[in-house]
Amino acid sequence: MPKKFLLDMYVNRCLRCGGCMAVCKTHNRTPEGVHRIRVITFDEGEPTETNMPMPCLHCNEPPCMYVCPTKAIYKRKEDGIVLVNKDTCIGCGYCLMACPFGAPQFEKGTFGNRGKMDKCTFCVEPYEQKDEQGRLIQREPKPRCAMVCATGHLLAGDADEISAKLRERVGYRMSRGVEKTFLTF
Amino acid sequence: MALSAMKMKRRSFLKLAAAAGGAATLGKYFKYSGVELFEPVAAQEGGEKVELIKTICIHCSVGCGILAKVANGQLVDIEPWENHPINRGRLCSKGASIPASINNDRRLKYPMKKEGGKWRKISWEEALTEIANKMLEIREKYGPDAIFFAGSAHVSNEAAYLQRKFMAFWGSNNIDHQARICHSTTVAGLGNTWGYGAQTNNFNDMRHAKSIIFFSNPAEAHPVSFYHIYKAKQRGAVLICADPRFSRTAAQSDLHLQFRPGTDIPLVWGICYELITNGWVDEEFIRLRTHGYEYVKEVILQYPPEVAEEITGVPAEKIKLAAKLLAENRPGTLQYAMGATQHEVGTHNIRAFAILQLLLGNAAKSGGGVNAFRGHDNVQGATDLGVLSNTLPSYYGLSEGAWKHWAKVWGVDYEWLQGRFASKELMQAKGATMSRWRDLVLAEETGDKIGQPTPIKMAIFWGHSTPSQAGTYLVKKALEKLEMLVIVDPYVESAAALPERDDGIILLPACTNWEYPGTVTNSSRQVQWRNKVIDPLYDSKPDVEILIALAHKLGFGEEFTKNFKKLPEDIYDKEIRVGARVIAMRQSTWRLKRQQEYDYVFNIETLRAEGGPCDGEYWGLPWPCWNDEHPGTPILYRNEIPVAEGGHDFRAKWGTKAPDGKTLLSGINGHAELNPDGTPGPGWKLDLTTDYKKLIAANKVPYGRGRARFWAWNLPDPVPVHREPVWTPRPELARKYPTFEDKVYGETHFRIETKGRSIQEQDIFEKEIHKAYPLVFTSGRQVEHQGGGAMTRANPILVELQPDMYVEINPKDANDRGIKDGDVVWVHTYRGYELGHYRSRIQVKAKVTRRVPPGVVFLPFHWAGMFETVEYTQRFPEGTKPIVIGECANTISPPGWAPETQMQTTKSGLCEVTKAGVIPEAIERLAKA
Amino acid sequence: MEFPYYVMVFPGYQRWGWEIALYIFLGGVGSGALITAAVTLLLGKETKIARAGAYLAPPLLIVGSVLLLLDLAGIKAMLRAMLVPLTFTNITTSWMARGAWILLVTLLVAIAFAYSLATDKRYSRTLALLALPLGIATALYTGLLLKGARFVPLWNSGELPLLFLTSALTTGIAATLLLASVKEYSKLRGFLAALLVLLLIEAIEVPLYFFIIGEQGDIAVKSASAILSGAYSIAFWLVLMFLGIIIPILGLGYVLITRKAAALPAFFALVLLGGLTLRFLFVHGAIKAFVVPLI
Repeated sequence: MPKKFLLDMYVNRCLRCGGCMAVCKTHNRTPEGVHRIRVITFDEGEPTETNMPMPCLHCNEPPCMYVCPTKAIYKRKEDGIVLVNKDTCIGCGYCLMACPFGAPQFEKGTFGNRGKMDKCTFCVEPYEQKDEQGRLIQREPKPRCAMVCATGHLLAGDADEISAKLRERVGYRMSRGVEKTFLTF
Repeated sequence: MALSAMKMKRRSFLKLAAAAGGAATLGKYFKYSGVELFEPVAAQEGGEKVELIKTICIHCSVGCGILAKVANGQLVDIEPWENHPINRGRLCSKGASIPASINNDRRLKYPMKKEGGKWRKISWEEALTEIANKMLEIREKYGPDAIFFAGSAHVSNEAAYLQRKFMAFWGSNNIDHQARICHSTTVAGLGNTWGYGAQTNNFNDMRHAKSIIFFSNPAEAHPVSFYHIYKAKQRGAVLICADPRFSRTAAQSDLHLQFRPGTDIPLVWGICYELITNGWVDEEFIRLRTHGYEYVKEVILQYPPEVAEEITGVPAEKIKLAAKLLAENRPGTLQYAMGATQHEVGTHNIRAFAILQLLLGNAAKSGGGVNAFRGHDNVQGATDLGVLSNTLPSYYGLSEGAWKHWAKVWGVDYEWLQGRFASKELMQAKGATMSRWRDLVLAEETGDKIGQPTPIKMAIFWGHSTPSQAGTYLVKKALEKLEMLVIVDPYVESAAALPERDDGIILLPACTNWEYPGTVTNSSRQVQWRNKVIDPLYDSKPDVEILIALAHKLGFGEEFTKNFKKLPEDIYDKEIRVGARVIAMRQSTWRLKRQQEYDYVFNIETLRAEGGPCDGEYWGLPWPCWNDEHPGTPILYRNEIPVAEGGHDFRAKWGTKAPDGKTLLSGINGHAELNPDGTPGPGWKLDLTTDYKKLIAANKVPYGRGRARFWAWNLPDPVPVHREPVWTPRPELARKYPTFEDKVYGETHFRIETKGRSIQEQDIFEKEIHKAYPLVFTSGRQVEHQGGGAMTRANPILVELQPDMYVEINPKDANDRGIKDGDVVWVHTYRGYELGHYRSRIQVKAKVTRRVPPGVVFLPFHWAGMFETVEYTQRFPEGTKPIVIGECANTISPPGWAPETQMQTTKSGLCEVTKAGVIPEAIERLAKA
Repeated sequence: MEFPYYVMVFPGYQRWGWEIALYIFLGGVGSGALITAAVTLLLGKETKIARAGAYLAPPLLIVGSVLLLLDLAGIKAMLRAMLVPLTFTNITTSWMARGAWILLVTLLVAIAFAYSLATDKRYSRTLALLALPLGIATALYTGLLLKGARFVPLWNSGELPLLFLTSALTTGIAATLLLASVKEYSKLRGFLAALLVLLLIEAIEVPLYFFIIGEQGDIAVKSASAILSGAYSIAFWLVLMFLGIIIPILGLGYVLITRKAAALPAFFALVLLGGLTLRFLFVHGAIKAFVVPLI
């Protein structure tokens, strides 16, 4: 089943408490400047104030994957999680330019610019992907950001669970369109 | 010492283990941390021991549960505690980044002493001996009252209780903590209205509200409470936000009442006026359960919405709409926090809120009540356990009877205890407060009258921050004047660096709350067991152990620890549980631990256990919890359910008859307070053996079934009336609604002379400082930081999320002053005049935003490291200064104190903002005059 | 299926830096020089100008590639990137992978071409026939590389590769002529005429590009207005349009009329400056769109 995030814009619930950002840094141990999830605020202080947590949405047709020159970005077959292989990533930054959501993050590189790309892994891979024996660390796909989200703005899980939630929130007709673009595998 | 030697050994072992494991590369993720950490998954795969330990967040008072992940004795990660009945695993940024706070090499690692301008590492033995000797010397020279002890709301119930007991055994009431400057007016306001000064309902219960009116900003100060508030919203609740600022809470609300800081009462009265004139009040509730409606009605009718509009600036239409929404959507709950309490009229603000809820009939029911959100993780517990200068634990006060009661609990002679004090009068006199201790230090300089033989000569800050205290200039001068300053904290609190002094400071490293077990009471009176997660890091020690060691050094250790065999449980079970009868804090620790084990049986809607060993219990056994069978009282004053199920009534605290001759006993089964045998009398709070089974079986409430008081005849304003802030921008209103007289409660109150009206007359009417300082100052919180920020500003994760201290200023005001977003600005005020320092200013970044209306500026208060535009981080011990620093907003907070409790005013002052380096002429002229 | 979304300026985005801008410029000049050399050779005899173009192309392409490598994550990534066939495997969808291949082949052909011109000249016509399409491909690809990043609206237009091709040709010709330093007007005439025509095309194409890119939405309008009237307006109007295009057009026109070639190197330098500015404007003036899905 594809794993998906859902960001509920109809009920603009996010408070920007930062729980998602902080727990992601604690859990995945990303270094300074790398945010696998970020909260974006627009119209701050206006009646239309909106906060928006932005993780990687694990798109059906990930633009980052298509532009990656080295096939370092791949979509896992079994659950559709988009991951990056740091052995093959060369840090060209093309994915950053191609991603509409700002998911690719770059640590500091050798020459003072970008290093390798790091992105949300649905919590299956921590920042350093390998343990000391060189084995790839694989964890359960349980994003901590969605688990700690105080207001339930950020949801994550299997696509069918998400679409059930979505139908509950925005109704069948509207959710069908969204599901087709976002949730089908 | 043996303890620390052992710890060193353990750590060097870990270091070896880490190197062998090849985890050296991890250093770069914890850029600011010197602690070696294991990669948790590798550890898991390697078959090493990984534990998940249930524990409670150490930051705010929501009391969120967290699972701490521990591998090989090291805290490596956290996981959401998804069964926790309050937060269901949800966390905000502070809770989610705790490992970075605990595994942090900016912590204070060992005791330190400042000598000849240099910090020197000393041993625990040396530190404690020196502190004890100095204390005894001061006692010899000036008497026991020359020491001020600042306790903490960031320690467990056990440590807080021991702090109070320590000062009682030392022989002084000069002990206080954050609650003084946080919710002391809540205790006075709600206590004087219906008996107990605590949040009446709980976070989960807010789900049942049909309307919620906010008087603070929980979206930033208590984000996880929004888990429940959103549930209410989802079910159709109306959210109304009353806040001078368009806060994040306001952004989520349906209606925003943007009033001028310090005008809460006219706003509430405007709403109440509508309720009364439209007949929307709950007549039956008022008739049966309250007293003094006619008095309050008389006052309220003087504040029609139009008058309220004139004072508050909220359009009358909006006030009317708010009243209509509240009347049509019942039950509704009212939420407030420091925005309402930190005023001269704090007590009366809170009483006004309570009266609004009584008129609506929203008090004492599920989905209603007055929800006072408290600040620190255990501020409710520390308040209950009397880390206050005006009471012994459990609100017994300081009367002879109270001392005798506690002497009995402690197993010491009352005479011996009295002998520890300078005199019987001082034993029963309220002590120095957190907001005014510095005036007691500086009494000679300021000429203020003091209510004790000598000024304060030594201070112990046990987990209290400096940035939260108003008037930093005075605090700094006081810190410089003390003979000795002792600071006990896991981090180096800014009090260690703020004073320009070369010696006489001792720092003791307390461990954090995850390094020692204990109970913790959240805002909703729910007591939770907080497990120890790891052993104390470095050479730090638990608060309880330090207090006991110090008591031994001072020579009363035997008496102090008489009842304790097993620490820390015995502190709760053998003393708190036995003595704290006024609030019936009689949960046993084994019940709390059992609840923790069976966390999954609690219903999130009701917080009640369904089946299992805890069947029928409420989560956290909120007090009053009369005995080991009692399920706790999650919602205060519900009289429709039996006492055995968590029912009771408004307290019959003021006798059976009011001064006007009307009865104070409830109209439904009313009775006076009872002895354990059922006869009227105060025996319920003095008997140390009863478990109230007989009374509860008869459905009698031990403290009686009384009425809520609209009319509190013992207060200077029996019914709240509007009083302009001391420093008001509207002098014409101040003439009509002047602030309190000086010395409302006598020459000295809490041992210091209190001024109010005279400051207003001098500064506003004579000097007209509002012309030089036209902007209204208000302060508040940032979601990423907590309290004085010593911990959160050293946490690399939180610092990355919020690195800035700023002043929020409306685009109009900014444009008038030529200030652009991001500019460095100075915020000036007329503070420090007590010592002839006629202007204070701070240097911060400007944040131009429409969050604040024109004429108001907002500053977060968590910051330290700069004082009046000058950085002082060089005075921190090496390697301990926080990652980010900023100016302290309270440097420019106004004067003014609530006469009842000495609450400081930090929410409505006057200031002026200019570009950095610019001092307007009007300010110069005022300073020279 | 369309979904509702809101587009805003990407807050605090990391941009591509000067390395990429300079690479695109050098790649353009190099491919332009290669095309110039190949066309010269194919149309006429092997001349000094053809040799200059052929000699110029390989070092420029090499320097450009080195700049590209410098932008990568580290030494390891650089070494890996040099093994183009092994690393850049995603030629089916990624313009960067295709580009790496194109660049590699072009570079090899350019070196062979230069070598053959310098030595026995036996295969130079064949190599010129190969170099011509490869040069065009390289010039086009720099534009396609930017276009491939779909969420930078300033780049997201089919005109961009053509614009870059034009600019590559003008700068390539200018650089070749500058290096060849041929003094005789008669030998230069054809080149100057071609350059003038291309510059005239560019003079229309460049402003037009920024004016019509607004169709790509608010963000594109924002970046275009920053270039046309905002922070980058001096670089655009003064340096690129006036110094880099108008002055050379007038200068070349003057030279073509008066047949006095003395001031030509200055005009060539200005054309190069204009090309450089154009690339920097495109890389630094780009604003990344941030799409907020309104689900």
